[in-house]
Amino acid sequence: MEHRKDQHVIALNNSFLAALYQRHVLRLTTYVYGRVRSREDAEDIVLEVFLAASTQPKIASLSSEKQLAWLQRVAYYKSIDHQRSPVQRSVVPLEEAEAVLISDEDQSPEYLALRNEEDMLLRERLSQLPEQYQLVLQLRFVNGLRSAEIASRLQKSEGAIRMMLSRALNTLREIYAE
Amino acid sequence: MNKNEPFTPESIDEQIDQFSTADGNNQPGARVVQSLQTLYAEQQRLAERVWERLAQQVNALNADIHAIDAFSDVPGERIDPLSRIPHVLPNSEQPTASFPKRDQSPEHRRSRPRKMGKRLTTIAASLVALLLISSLFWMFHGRQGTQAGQGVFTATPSTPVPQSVRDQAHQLLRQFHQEVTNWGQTHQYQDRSNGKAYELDYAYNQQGIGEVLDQMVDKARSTADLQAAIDQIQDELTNLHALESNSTDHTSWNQVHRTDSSLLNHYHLKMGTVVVVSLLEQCMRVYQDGQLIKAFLVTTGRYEVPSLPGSWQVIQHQENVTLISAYPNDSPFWFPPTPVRYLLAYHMGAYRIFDSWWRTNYGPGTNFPHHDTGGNPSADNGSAGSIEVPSDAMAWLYDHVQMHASVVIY
Repeated sequence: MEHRKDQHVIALNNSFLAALYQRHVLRLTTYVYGRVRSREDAEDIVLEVFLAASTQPKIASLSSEKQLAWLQRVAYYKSIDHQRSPVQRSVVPLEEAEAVLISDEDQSPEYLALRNEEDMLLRERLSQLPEQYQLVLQLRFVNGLRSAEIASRLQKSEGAIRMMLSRALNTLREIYAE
Repeated sequence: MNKNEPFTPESIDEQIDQFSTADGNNQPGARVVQSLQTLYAEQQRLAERVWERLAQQVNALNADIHAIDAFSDVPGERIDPLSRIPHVLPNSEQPTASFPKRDQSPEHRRSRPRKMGKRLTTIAASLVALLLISSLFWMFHGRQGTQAGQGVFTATPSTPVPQSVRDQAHQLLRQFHQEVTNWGQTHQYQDRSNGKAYELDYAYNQQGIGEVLDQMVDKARSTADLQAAIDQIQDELTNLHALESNSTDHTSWNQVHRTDSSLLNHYHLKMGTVVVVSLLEQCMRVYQDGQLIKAFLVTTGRYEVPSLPGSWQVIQHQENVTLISAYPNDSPFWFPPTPVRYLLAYHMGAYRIFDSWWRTNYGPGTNFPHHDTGGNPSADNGSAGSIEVPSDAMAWLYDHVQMHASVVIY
């Protein structure tokens, strides 16, 4: 019975913290990803935000939108902290960098820089999309739902979902068309 | 379809499908779809890693609390571990307050050493044994506690446990296991889809509540702990006998069952809302003040991860939840983050009731390997421990079954 072997899961599962996590973690991750370059920093910030939330049980009584807004506000300050902190600068060892550079022509510094820039732009622009658009993209790309299924879940018309999906993707598509 | 064209509402699903499989396509549409797939997959992995770290840190702090309380020598003191978390973590009104850092994976440690993480790891390691014990008792004392019925923890006194009580617990436990084995050997489900046979009482065996009872007895450190284990075994025997008796009852699943009534009497649940789940019939009957008011077919935990038989209470009542698997993604029980509209939890540890919109068939046999006529392979077996309910039934349940309502599973 693996449920009980993972005692850490048990301890959290029914707390308000677990409910909060389940509800908001992916949206918060999108938000944080749009603000910091390093994935390790993003992971630390998401963790710190939920640890901060654990000190504030009153969040449980807020509406879902207000909960997310609170989490994002904490993440905003955390991301500033991380950008200021000198220990957050990640350094690629020279040997690893060389291994990357000589592996493939497509892995040239210019190419990698461009891909990183596009990656960062995607993260930024995704996080700047309206919340509903982000939710629709999440349901499509994380949960694999089609427009009709998303419409059913969000109690909107299928046409509205199709419009939101196409607008969101066209906005993000500009990154690669530029 | 011209791949240089922008996305259009009319064919958005088809465009995404096409671009997501267009390897090597450098058109903007394909790149945005594939980059989003990569990005979201990365975010899911991050969410799972953070969840593990979060649990580790919160539990380390919980263990810290229990360590203090275990030595406080205040018999009968009851503590809600989760309610105490805020007092241990830095109490911050300011979003910029600093927090303990994580314990680092080797990969992270190489590039970015953290002092606090190391300290927390030490705390967690030194207290993990105590945590295991305390978590277990917390799980089971919840049902016996206050009206809220959850999250209560009994400090364990240090007085020696009489051997007679320990013997009684072990004897009862052996009797329980023997009965489960004997009945299971002669009452099996023959699965046509894979030709295998499954014991009909599998939720009571070592994959289910049986292991929990073993741990309760093994970890008991006081007479009170052992008595709680004995009470729990007796309750499980009651439910097992109800299951056995129900196996010969041919009353329709949506009618009052004699075994339901016996259990309502046994647990003194003739008043209020009670959800009764029959694992054998794969159905749920809802009683109000002892009267049957609704019945649904359901799907419960699969053979490897059964739903928990027993008498529990609703401890979480929530809308629009994304379920996150407690298993690693290489586990056969792993599932991607899954949104559900309504959720009721009846026990710690991912034991929940929710709408399974991906499932078409419910009822007998759906907890075993089968072919769901909706075509979604995720629905071709029982759940990962939860009780899955059709969407319209779940909407009704959410409205009519409130926090602290009783849930009897047998």
